[in-house]
Amino acid sequence: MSQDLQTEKQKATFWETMHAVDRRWLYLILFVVVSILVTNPITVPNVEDPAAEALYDYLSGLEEGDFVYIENDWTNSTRGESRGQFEALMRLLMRKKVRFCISTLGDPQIPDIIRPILRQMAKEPGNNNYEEGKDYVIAGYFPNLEAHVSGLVNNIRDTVKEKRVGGRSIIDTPVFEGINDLSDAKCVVVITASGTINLWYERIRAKTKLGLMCTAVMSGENIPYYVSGQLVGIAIGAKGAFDFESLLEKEWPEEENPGYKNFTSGRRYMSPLFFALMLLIFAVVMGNVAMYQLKRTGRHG
Amino acid sequence: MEILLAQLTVPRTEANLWAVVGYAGLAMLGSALLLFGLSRVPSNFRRPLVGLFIFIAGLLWVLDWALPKATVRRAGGATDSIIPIPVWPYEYDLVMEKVVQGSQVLSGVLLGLGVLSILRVHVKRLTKGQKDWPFSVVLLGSMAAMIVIGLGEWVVNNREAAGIPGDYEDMKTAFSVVFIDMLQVLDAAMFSLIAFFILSAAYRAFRIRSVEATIMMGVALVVLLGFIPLAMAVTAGLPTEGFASNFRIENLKSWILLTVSTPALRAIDLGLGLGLLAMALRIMLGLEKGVAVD
Amino acid sequence: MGENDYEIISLGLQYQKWGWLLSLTTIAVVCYILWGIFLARRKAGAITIRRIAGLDQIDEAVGRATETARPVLMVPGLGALDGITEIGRAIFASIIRTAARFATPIRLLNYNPAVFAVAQEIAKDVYQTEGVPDRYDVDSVRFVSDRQFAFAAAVAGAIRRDQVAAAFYMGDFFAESLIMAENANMVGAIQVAATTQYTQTPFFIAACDYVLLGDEFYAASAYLGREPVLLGSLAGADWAKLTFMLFAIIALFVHSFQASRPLTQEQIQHFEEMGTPVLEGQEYPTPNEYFFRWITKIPRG
Repeated sequence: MSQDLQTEKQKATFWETMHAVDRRWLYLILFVVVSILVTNPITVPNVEDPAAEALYDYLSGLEEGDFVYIENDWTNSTRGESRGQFEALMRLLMRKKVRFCISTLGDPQIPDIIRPILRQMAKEPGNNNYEEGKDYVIAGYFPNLEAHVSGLVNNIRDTVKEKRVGGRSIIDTPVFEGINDLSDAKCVVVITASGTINLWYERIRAKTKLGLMCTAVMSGENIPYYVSGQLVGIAIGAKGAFDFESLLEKEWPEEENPGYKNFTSGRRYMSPLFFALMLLIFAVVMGNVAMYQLKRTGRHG
Repeated sequence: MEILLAQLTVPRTEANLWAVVGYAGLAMLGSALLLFGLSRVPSNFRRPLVGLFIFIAGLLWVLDWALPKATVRRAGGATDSIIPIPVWPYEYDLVMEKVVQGSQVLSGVLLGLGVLSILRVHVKRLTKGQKDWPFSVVLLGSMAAMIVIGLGEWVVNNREAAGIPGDYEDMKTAFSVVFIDMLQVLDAAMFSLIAFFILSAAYRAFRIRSVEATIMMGVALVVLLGFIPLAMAVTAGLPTEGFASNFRIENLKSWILLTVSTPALRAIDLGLGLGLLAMALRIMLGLEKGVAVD
Repeated sequence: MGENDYEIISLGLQYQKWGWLLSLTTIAVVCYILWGIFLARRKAGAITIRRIAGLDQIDEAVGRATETARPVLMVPGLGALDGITEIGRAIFASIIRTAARFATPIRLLNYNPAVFAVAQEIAKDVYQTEGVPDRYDVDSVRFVSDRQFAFAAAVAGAIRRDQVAAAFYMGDFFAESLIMAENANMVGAIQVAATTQYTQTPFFIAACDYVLLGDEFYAASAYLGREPVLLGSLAGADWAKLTFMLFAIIALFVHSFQASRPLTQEQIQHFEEMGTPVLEGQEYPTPNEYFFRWITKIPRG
């Protein structure tokens, strides 16, 4: 009898601990789990999100020589999500030989960050040795958000004509050949971690298709625009990057195409994310079970 | 100082610079006169005057939206392209450009006020030796370094663009160290803290205390699981077409996000939009109390 | 630009293709609001407003800060000087008024220099009208940083160093919301939050004691002041909302009716002209799709 009471007491202490775990323990567990998985990523299976697939399918259906405008607004803070999306998108466009122009509203440093990434990527097999000024241009940073987006919609050439590459204006490069208006572009893809996409919803006036790659936290506010058909597709967070990488792998399997690089940061950050979410679910369930147990034993009012 | 000025003026011509200085001087004189005039106006007129200014400022944007835009073909242009511009007054785009530039200049001036506030708080703490004064030293030091290096890189870039020979690598390295290797990494570190805070906040907040909380938690779990490949693998055995496909976890997640959460978000958005419109109207018409500063 | 420089091809772009409906709707909403204001002015007390728990807590939270002699923190968010910060200003003025009466120390930390300049004037003004200008500490209203995460770090630091007793977040918040709210939670502060960025609302709900949802925020200045004009504009916006609801219900029935019938040849042609051709299998929803599966598909037009 007394032993029963003893175990009952011990159990209660365990549930009491579980009911109010010191947050520092949670932080420590998360830190350890994520650190291990970032350095030693494991491959997790994937089922592609239909919204991300819709964007991929549209871009994948473009023909050689088509033009896409890319608004690249992420900064280093959201590199975990946005960089994987950016890289996968670039690989797709390079392999399809689609011309593109990249500008940024987010941070003046971004052009300097992406230039080496693009140069590195262009050398990979399958990426057609893309060259700045010939196959793509970087229009750089624009500090005035509204004026830039309105300008692109009203007169794309005037808006970017002052940006130069190799001593000439970017609109005189082969990239802008035959592009007189935004409606000549097949798509605008916005990679963003902030509200800059709203400017495009407001101002694009259905001149061309709009695609979005955003951080996971922004998915809620942007999914309505996908449902309404204003977005051709939407890739969300690290999962979106992984979806794009998986779809690249389906189209150009690494086994059949030696040297192709389909998976980079998307897959690397997927397993930490996946385990962090599992930990979150576990913590929530545990907290509730503990609360229930304490209520049952009458230790919790 | 002279050297610095010379460096700043590299990309500009001499006459151009004096024009800029002249305009700046005129603008300062004009605003000083305006403020002086405003302070002389009897206070019962001041409020309607400020109200009128606010109304006109708002009206500029309304006109930008409402004035009919047109598709036009420009003759003699390089490309003879089709571009829409406002028809009447057809250079309204240029008017708005000036308005936007003006507000940017104003916010630049106000940033100076902000910097003054920082200096006042921290210099005071430093000179009076108040609690945590070493932090103030770090802050003031970093601020000075950032300003000097940021400005230095700008000068160096301008000189390089103008083809002036010189050794610019040191400044560029310094810039890269403080902005890209330090500031941006610190930004990312602060951002990543959110992961920890989400964990502790969710652990504390997601408790089944009522029916509503239970529903919310159940839905949240389904959506979370819908992002986890392992959970998808569990329901991967269900068919991809037909009625049973509804119960695949990723389809459940999509259904919740697209069919349940989207209308709710739209409703909130609609409410916010209407609220904002009402708010804008109240400010424009001077009905919001205290907007026009007395 | 002279008269002969261009040739007009099409006039009134923003009113074409149902664009006029948007303008008409906006004008209708403006009329509703003006009518509401007119009615409220004519008859005082005609419009009442329901309780908003978060705003009722202001006095209690400030009272607790007074008892413990710890400061009250106010953050107007990351927005520029616009309508949203204007509402935040109205709420903060009310908080500062209570704090001035009880001689409770305040901290008003700013991200935007323009908002800072206005906030400073308002704080000074409130202390003066309360007749206690000597209680106003110039350093209590501060500009901190205009870089998002530097700002978050500084606010979190201030929360911990000053052990704030109450925290109010009113305005535009983004990723930094949880950093501030969780830190204030750790020091045991009463927290009230309101933001128009609804992606951040869940984070505030998880960490704060009271959260104003959606457009409750816009009602705040009317609620605190109970001025007939403000209440009238609220009522006008509510009537507009009711009209939208009615429209949505009618659209629901019309759309359901249409969805249960196959598309006519004319409609198919119309969708093709609009650039959204009817795909195979979308001409007619199958009975299986009536349940909920088909709603997740991309709409036709």
